[in-house]
Amino acid sequence: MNRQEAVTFKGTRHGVTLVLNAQAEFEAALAELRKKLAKAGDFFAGAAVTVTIDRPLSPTEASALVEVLCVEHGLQLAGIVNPVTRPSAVASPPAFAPAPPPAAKRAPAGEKLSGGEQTLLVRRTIRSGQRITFDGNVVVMGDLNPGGEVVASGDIIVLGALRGTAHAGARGRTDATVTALRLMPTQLRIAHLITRAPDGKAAAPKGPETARIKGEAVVVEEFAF
Amino acid sequence: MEARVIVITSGKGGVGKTTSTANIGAALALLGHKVVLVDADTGLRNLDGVLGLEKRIVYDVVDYLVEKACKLRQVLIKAKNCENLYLLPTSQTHDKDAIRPEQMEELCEELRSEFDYVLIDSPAGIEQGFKNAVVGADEAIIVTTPEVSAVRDADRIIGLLSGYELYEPKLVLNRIRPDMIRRGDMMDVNDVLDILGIPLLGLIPEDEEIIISTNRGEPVAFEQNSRSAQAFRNIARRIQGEEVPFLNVSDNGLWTRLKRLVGLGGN
Repeated sequence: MNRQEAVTFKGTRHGVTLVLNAQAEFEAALAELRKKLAKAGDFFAGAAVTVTIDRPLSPTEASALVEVLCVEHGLQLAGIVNPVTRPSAVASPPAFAPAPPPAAKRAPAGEKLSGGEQTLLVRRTIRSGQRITFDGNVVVMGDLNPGGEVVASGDIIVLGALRGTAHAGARGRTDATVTALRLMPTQLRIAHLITRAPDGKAAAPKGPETARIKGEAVVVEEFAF
Repeated sequence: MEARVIVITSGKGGVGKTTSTANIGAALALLGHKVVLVDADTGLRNLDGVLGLEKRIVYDVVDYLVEKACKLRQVLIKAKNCENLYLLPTSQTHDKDAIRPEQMEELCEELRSEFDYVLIDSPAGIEQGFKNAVVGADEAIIVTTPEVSAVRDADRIIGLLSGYELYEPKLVLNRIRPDMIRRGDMMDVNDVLDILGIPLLGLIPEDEEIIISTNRGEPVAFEQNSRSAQAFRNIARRIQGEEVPFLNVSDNGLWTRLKRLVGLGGN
């Protein structure tokens, strides 16, 4: 085995795993991925894929992957796994198998910024029929439209109008939040709680808002730093 | 000649794709361009009827692409009352799977050298027929109406189009009723644009003339005095690159604003 392929698909019990060769140049790997997906036609459409790579991905690279997998070919990104952020000692299942809610404690704000939890940056509007699933936080630079869905194990931030469905803390983190410049969701889910806007026409929010769990209910408040 | 190949699509059925295709095509032809309208709605074809050409079909796209029973020029039908407008009819007896995407791509390439504009009338839905319609196009026009379901389907289509490298589709908002918008019973033009976030190409008011002309088999764009005809002619001019102001359909024009300013009129 001299030459390893830059991109390999593997079928596992948990779904499809996409192995990216850490040595390969990212652009080349992306081109090869595009080619393979185009050849596969509709075969992978709707499948949940876990991406594995032996090095950390930059936010730009992660966004490019989402672009190709989710937007161009309709796959669902179950998560990006690499040993840097996921020590192999943690025997966690890949992808989003309905995991028992781990009683995760929120790290102090300062520590959280320094990393440890991945954040996916989506530089586009998520339209009806598109779904982004990610193990970590998701930031959408655009809108989340009705019929679109974002599922994250951490927080969700939408720098635009959130009109679709958002599920933060999807693995059970009850301290997860959903923030949007205009929060008017079809449905909001945080951890195990599901809420929806009241029926009928609701007034547009005046400014950015955050939804979080307080007691046993999801509460929407004006966004504050 | 090197044609622009434009697909006209919507996701939802019944929002006016076929009518828009016929009328935008007719309006472009009136401006002197050589236009062919390709019906991609195999099995449920209607473009021929809107143009009043159903009785003249001898061969269709399936005969040409699949059966290889005829030449391309035998399939093309020249429109009534218009020199530059042609129809490429599809089959009513086959279904969408009869034509493969590669064949559609070849067809578009072939038409490209003969015409200025190739307009493809897409079927509703997101299955094989939609794929066939978009695969050979280099631009897309989304037709929708100011209804929640139509807008949501349009949004889905915009997402899917990016998979075909059609990144910036343009929007035609059809069947606008200013009176309903004023009463708050219909989505405002700005609401729709806010959700879809794509450039506006045209606003078409609800107009009885369209139903009459469609049933008669003559595109309304040929009529002089109808508002919807004017809207379609404006779209054609915008497609060829002109800046044309939009018709005032949302009743938020100068007059309404003036009245509001001096305290007359509601709201």
